[in-house]
Amino acid sequence: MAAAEKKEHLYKILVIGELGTGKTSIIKRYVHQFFSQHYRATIGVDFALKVINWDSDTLIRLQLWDIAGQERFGNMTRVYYKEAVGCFIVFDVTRASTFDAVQKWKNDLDSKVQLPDGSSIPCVLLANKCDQAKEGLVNNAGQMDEYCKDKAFAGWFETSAKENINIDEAARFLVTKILANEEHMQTNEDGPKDSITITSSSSSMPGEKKSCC
Amino acid sequence: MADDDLPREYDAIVLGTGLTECVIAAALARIGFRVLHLDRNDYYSSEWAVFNFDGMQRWIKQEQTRALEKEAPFSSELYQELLEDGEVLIPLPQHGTGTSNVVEKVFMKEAPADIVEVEDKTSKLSLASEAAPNITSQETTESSEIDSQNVDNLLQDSDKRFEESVVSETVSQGDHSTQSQGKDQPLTESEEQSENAKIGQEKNEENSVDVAESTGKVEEQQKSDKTEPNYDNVEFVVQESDHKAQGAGVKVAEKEPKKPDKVREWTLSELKKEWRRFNLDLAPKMLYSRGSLVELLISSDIAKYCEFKTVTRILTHLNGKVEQVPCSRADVFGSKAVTMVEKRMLMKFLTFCMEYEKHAEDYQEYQEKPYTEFLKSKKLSATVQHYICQAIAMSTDKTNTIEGLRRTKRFLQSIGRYGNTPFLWPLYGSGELPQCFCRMCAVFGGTYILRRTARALIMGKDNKCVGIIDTEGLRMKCNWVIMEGGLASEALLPENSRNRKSSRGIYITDKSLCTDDQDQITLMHLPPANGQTDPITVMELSPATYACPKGLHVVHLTCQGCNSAEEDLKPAEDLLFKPVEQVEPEPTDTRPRVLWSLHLNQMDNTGCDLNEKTPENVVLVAGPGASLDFEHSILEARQVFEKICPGEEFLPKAPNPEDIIFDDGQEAANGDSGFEADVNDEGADQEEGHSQDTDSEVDAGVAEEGSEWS
Repeated sequence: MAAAEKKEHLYKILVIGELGTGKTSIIKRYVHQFFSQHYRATIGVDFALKVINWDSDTLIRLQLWDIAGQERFGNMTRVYYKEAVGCFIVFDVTRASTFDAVQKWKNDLDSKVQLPDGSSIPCVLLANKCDQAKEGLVNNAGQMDEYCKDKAFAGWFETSAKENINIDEAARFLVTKILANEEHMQTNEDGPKDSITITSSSSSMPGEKKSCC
Repeated sequence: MADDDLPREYDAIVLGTGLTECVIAAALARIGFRVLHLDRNDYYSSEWAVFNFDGMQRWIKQEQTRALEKEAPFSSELYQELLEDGEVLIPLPQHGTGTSNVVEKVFMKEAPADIVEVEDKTSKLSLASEAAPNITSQETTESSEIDSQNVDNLLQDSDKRFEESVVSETVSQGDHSTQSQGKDQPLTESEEQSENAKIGQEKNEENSVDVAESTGKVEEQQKSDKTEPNYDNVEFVVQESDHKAQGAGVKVAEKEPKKPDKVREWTLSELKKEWRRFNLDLAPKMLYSRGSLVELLISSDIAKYCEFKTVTRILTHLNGKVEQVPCSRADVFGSKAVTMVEKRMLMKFLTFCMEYEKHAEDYQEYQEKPYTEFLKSKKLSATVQHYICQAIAMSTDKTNTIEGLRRTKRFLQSIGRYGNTPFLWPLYGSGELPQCFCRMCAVFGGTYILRRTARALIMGKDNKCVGIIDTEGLRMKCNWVIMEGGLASEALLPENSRNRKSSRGIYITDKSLCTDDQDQITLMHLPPANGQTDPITVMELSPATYACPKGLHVVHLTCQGCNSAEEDLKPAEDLLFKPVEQVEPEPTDTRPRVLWSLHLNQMDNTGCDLNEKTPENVVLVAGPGASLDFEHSILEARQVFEKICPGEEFLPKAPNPEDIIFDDGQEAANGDSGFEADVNDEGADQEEGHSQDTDSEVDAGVAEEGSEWS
């Protein structure tokens, strides 16, 4: 599909956060350009794939990993976190309790996945449902900036999957951070290069395709 | 919290996240069952779990607490209002555990001794930059000339249980366990680091740099090297390429001949600092390359969640030495341990074994006699007999010929599919595999809750279980309960189920059992000791598996449990490791030294029918057992699935998410059919849309068919 001489990147991005904050809606808006009030749980797929023509010679394939049935209590397997290079943590601006849980998700994330140099992966905070009445800290942008700085978020965006606000922008921002990280260190440098994937559908794990840089 | 909208009715409730439970949960969710999967622990994989060093410390504490805790009496009145007419409760034990005799030991100094405060700082800096090139170049002998007086004082301060008055490099610090003092080190992280630097420096004469601090440094430097291409430490380049070569399993270039490794002297606090880099399995197992788990991972495409390394060598203990067993054709040809004549014998015999069934006349009269006698009759040399019986057939002198031949063939069949040995080892540990199945289950709608289990089974009429009361006091209806046998009450278990156990030892060591210049993953068997009938399994994992940080190895010993794990494994430890109590080791003793060990016994209920006494819709499944491989678990999972949904397909391949592509705003050819699936849809519906793309994707380059011995 892509021109052969294009550089191709494959990135695994996690979308986590409390139940009902709109994770799946955000993914669907971003990947499939639609929104439904009544989406059902996503059955049978690990991730949605978004292909971005980043610039004239870079193609980026984003795997957006939704958290499936393990979300309720934040009990994620390592399989889910493994090899992720970026993350969205989503909360619902209309429910302050979902913001309170953000820190728990960030801690879980940082404890289960790191970049090869041991630093945490870039994480963007999404204040979703911003088309509705807000509750709590999110009303004060200055304090939100402070919070993100404090808790080591790369940044935050007010988003609405329903009104399609800021979702592309947030994704673009996260990808920029990921690309910057890649320049710093060859991702997967630490990885055992001779490991065996015993089945290999052409593209299932990010590691396989990262030969590009 | 999320409990409010947690459904209260399921097709199956699964208790425990051991491999068998997880495979069943995934298989059921895959065909559309509503699955609730609970585990009382805060980690996945139950008795099959894998932990980093911190996690292991927590697990040890938890097991020791559970062993002491008294079970609160069950009072069914509490739940009366949840019950309907005629229903009764079967309480499930909450503290019971299949694990016993958990003993942790540390054979390291607690923290680096704080001795040479006044050492000049400039030399420290220069040492840091020279650390890498020198790692491999010095002998260890002079590294521990420490002022014993000082050390003594210090040790008394930091750990009252230290009783040795003189500390030299290899002094055993006896049996003090770490449970209580682990977390609250008196030193802060950065202080510790500078302490390390000091001690690293102190322990080494001139430029002989103890790797103490330097392993970390080496890595940091390598990282930073990436960003600064102009570093001018030329020697360092050599070191780095050396590493790369090892990583890729390639022999180190000739121009940089490997000198005897300088063995780093670790302290507990240094080891703890690397806690994330450990992956210690409670029940390590290997996969036969053509075993049922590999086939299942491929057929279900769950393999996409896991990565493996091939086990790189089979070792054996022969005439007081550890040596490598040639088992592939290339190995046999290349082996220096056997003569030309023996090579021919071995080739001929192994080729025969691949199709022994066709040559019944060759072994008929030996069928029931020991395999060793049959091998003798084949005029094989003593060495070759030993290789075949102990290392390849993993047998003893009691194993009969027909069994020996069966095992030999099974071993040979798996050679050559992925590597020169028949086995694969999962990266991050075999405790990772149950989680892969959990993910598949969750992707197909399964709900996971950790730190929660069933308090009691609700029994309706006709001896059928209608649901559970969970530990939050919620009533959950279900048609089936599948649970880890170790969680069942005595009332549900057959009498003989607690008779068998396995003995396990986990050891962090300072070097490999048989050092060469590659990162090896090793399998070895030792003859049974004290009343056992089966050989003792030895696995050794190098840092390349992520089992441990660089400079260390992890060894796993497993055998049938006759006594406590400590007693059962003592003979094997004596054979493999430097004696821990010996103050001055023989300089010629090249065996690894144990820095840390953990012993435990696990109930082994793989050999009995667990479901003699259970209600018809409650299924108990076995724990890991002592076997080397996963065959029992996969077979059992299939049987349970077949019992619950006769005739249904067992874990068909899931659709590949990449078949659903939206290209920068324009819909790709596949459209979104199947992605927006209804919860109640059965997975099969979706698959139709994509099956043509998802077949035939096994990488031909890797999964070549046919054993090289066939």
